[in-house]
Amino acid sequence: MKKVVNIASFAIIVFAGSVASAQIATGKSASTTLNVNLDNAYDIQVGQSSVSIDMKTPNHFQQGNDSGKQTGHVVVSSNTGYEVKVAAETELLNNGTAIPVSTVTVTPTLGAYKGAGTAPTVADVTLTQNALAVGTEKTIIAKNSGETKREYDVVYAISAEQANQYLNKTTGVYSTKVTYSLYAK
Amino acid sequence: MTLILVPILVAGQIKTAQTQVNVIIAQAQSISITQPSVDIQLTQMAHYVSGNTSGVQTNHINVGSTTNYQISVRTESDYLSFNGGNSAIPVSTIALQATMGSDLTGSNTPASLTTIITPSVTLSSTDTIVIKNAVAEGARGYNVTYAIPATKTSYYLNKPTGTYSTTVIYTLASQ
Repeated sequence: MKKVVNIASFAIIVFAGSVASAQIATGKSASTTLNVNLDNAYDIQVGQSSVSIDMKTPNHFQQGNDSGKQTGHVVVSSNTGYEVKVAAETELLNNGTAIPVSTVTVTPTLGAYKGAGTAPTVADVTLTQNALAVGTEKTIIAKNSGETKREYDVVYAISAEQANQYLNKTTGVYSTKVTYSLYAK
Repeated sequence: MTLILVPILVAGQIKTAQTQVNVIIAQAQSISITQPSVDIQLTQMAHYVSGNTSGVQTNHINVGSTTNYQISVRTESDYLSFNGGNSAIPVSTIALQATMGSDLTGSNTPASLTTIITPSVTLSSTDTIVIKNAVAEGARGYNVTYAIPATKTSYYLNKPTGTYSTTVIYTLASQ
């Protein structure tokens, strides 16, 4: 038996107005006013568009299984502190047969910094393992400061305790769509 | 007795008058900035990731000088101002990139080959020469781009949104 988790993402972008002023002088010296208009900006990307967890050996049904580490699975850029939340669109479905999506946990770990310059502090990041839920966003990443192109690695797992939920089911691919959302903190 | 006055004209002679034309040569210099206000936008994530520039400010510096000259640049403070006070963002996060502009006299005089333009100057409150060894000329423009490189955008993270400003001062001196 095999389950496919499909991943989708979207970004929230906020714009605000800006102000400019002017100054000029002539003679032996002259000047201009240089303005930097700073506004909030956010972006979230998902590295792998499809992730699978195999449930096809006796060991999988006894001890559970996972997707293996999905390196750079969630990539966040934010000029402020942020939170990443995850939700499933449906239960795991296969031709009308459902398996609770809550049998799958999402575990984030800190990944690589792909932004420019020195990597910013990660002392203020909190990573939380959460089970997926339909239509309910669960916070898995919270960070108090912004950064650009911060990767998080993710493992999707079915625990030994949940593995029996996959017994007595028609073989095939059970899938759902998982959405990661980025919020300003 | 009758006195008859007869005007006498001598062939080949005409009236003449003279004046003296004085050309007073004195040192004269002027500098002005074409764009009184320049903006750099940090309003999209691509700006924070890759940096951003003001775009080219064409003939931003406009100079006239009867002597050879140099131009230096400085800012009024080492930090950008925000809401009437200094922010924690240094002006050194911004680079000034100058290039040769146009002859602004209308005579299409080519630029002096001796002119040396520093291609990139990091802004600071200390005067830094951006143009030197320029030959005297009537009106010369220099193009300027202000840029925040990708390696400096982190200074702008976790800051209140709004407009951060500084006054950039150009000074002209004889050389």
